[in-house]
Amino acid sequence: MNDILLDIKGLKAGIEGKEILKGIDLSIGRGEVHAIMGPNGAGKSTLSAVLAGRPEFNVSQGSISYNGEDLLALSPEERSWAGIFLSFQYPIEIPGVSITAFMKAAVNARRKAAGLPELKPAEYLKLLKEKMAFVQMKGEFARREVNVGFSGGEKKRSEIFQMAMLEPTLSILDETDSGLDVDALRIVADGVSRLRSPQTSSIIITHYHRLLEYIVPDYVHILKDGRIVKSGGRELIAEIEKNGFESFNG
Amino acid sequence: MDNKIYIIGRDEVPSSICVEASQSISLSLVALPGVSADVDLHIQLLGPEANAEIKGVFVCTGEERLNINVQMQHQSPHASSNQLFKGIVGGKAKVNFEGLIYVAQDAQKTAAFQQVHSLLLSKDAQMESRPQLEIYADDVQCTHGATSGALNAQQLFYMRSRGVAKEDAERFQKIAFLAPVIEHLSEEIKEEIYATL
Repeated sequence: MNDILLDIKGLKAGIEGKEILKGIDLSIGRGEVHAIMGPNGAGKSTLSAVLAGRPEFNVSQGSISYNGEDLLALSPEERSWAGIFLSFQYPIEIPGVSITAFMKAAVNARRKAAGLPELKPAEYLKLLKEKMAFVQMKGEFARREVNVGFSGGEKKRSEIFQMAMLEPTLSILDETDSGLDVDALRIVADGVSRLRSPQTSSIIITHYHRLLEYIVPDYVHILKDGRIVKSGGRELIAEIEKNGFESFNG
Repeated sequence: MDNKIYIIGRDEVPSSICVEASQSISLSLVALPGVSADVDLHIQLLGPEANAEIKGVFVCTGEERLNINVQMQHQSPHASSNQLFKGIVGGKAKVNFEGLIYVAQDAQKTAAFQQVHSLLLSKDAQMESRPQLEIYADDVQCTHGATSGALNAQQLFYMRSRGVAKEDAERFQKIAFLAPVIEHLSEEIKEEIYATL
């Protein structure tokens, strides 16, 4: 295994007093892509929410170390500054806030946290254009309000655009393939593939194998009822495709 | 149509305005933090095609007591009025809004709308909206609505997950919330309002 970036140990977590994750152990090395697959209600989205620090979720037991730091002690924005990016299954609409203004605040907050000066307007514009081209977004996209009136495909492309803007060390893609047509899926997958590097890692959460045809994972984990019931290589995908999740038991 | 802006506590707000046939008025009331006041605004629509557009924005985040009372009196048929008030109430501030839409018996084909929305930032902040409709004509279009809400947790988390600091994410939401009642104001006043958020 490579140098460990994320180390989850004995994680139990839930929401409103209901335990959803019932003891997760997972290590992710630098440069690795891990797929987490499982049926609806297995706890996949809870895991992504806990990693990103969504306040409504409570961790009752266990630890998460990221880059050697205690991830659970960080606020959502501190996690972002540390290089964590969560692509939402259902991106949130923010009426009245343009993509340009939103991303400018995000990029500059992160630079500030790293002790760097804010980007000059021309520098920011250049970055914006470059990353928009990356997911084939047209100029007017930057002026639109965040996710407002976006189609399903546009929302997901917008997520990958934001991911490209923030150049995360650990990206978590939560059901990024759901609701995408083939063209949008290809654009998204292409974007994600191009962001892959030996320094960065990804967690791809999905219950289809569709996206995994484009982004080939190094490891596959099957999550069922709050536990990882099986881990293996990409050969697990074929097994799931053939037998479904029924045959995997904890 | 010129929009007249009244900063409460700084400008004198006219207590009574008459709008004649085919005349349109547009005015904005702005209440900035630190200002307690009683504002009474009575508008009379006196002829066909008379129109009144009223916008209000209030930011009360300390211990302000702000009472706004608007009476929109439709005395003539075929006149229209539109009111939109949006405000942010925090700290121990109390904002009280009373809005009466009165439609006289022969003021048929009246179109009168009133919306009052507030964003509550603290448990001790209070917003009371008391809209009243008094309608004596039968062929009219009148609606009113009032809401009070808190900052949206999902939106905040989404922004924070992208690295926008909590305070900035909250500020984005406040600016977006007030946008419909701020966008037509002058840059100076906009800046003055933004500086309070």
